[in-house]
Amino acid sequence: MLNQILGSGFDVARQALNGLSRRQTAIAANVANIDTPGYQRQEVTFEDALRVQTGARASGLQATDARHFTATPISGGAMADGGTRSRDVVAQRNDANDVSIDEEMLLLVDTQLRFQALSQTTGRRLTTLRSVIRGQ
Amino acid sequence: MSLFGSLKISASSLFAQRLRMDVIANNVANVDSTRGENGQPYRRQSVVFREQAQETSFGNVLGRATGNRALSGVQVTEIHRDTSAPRKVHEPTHPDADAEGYVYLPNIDVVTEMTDLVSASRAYQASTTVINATKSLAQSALSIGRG
Repeated sequence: MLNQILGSGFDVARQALNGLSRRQTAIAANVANIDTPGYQRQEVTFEDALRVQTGARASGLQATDARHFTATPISGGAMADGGTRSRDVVAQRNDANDVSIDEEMLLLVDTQLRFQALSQTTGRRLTTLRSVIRGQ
Repeated sequence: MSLFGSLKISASSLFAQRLRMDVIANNVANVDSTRGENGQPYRRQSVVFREQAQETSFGNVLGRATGNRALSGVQVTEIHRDTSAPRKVHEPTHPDADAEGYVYLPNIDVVTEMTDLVSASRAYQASTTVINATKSLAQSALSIGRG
């Protein structure tokens, strides 16, 4: 019942928020291990998995007429699981550690902004819902 | 849990980098200590970092088996003593000079210590930045149901 009210978009947002917070943990681990010899950078990729899960339902346009434009969802390199993985590059540092602080800081800001945008839209959705329920 | 987990990871980094700074301070303070423990000149110390050991919980074992490594912080496994040769300086009037008038000073290079110090302090700053970002993430997550 509640799921019907909230819609599938809510579930997608929830999973994306989970993925982003896991990415934040990966960044924290990478930055913490910036001076650990032999450490391999960890990265969280969940967007592709989420896209596969939700299919064209979340993204893409429905054509109800033959003359309509069609928009196909962007297909990235499909990652079967939404887990963590190491990068396949050769380490450039002497201690075989492949963490780059600039990259991590950029990703940190990126994650932060995405998380804020998602949580704000989710909050708005709930506010709308609340005003609908109250009828005012 | 995840956000608190990342706070814990960042905290491990703060702890490790601070310990590293303490060790560097110890080295710089003892740059001229000719008489350490057992009468030998002081030896340079350095920290050894390692990725934090994983708990052997079911989730971690399963993750390792499926190629998804659990994320972990950093830990200092050892404070290593540098065994390289001490500096030899000719100073016959020094109380610790040997029969030929040579004094053995610690194997500490101040420039190395300073660059290490900068590295430690930058890594510390990076981790505090991550902590602040995690905090703002948690705050925006908490504000979802508000209003």
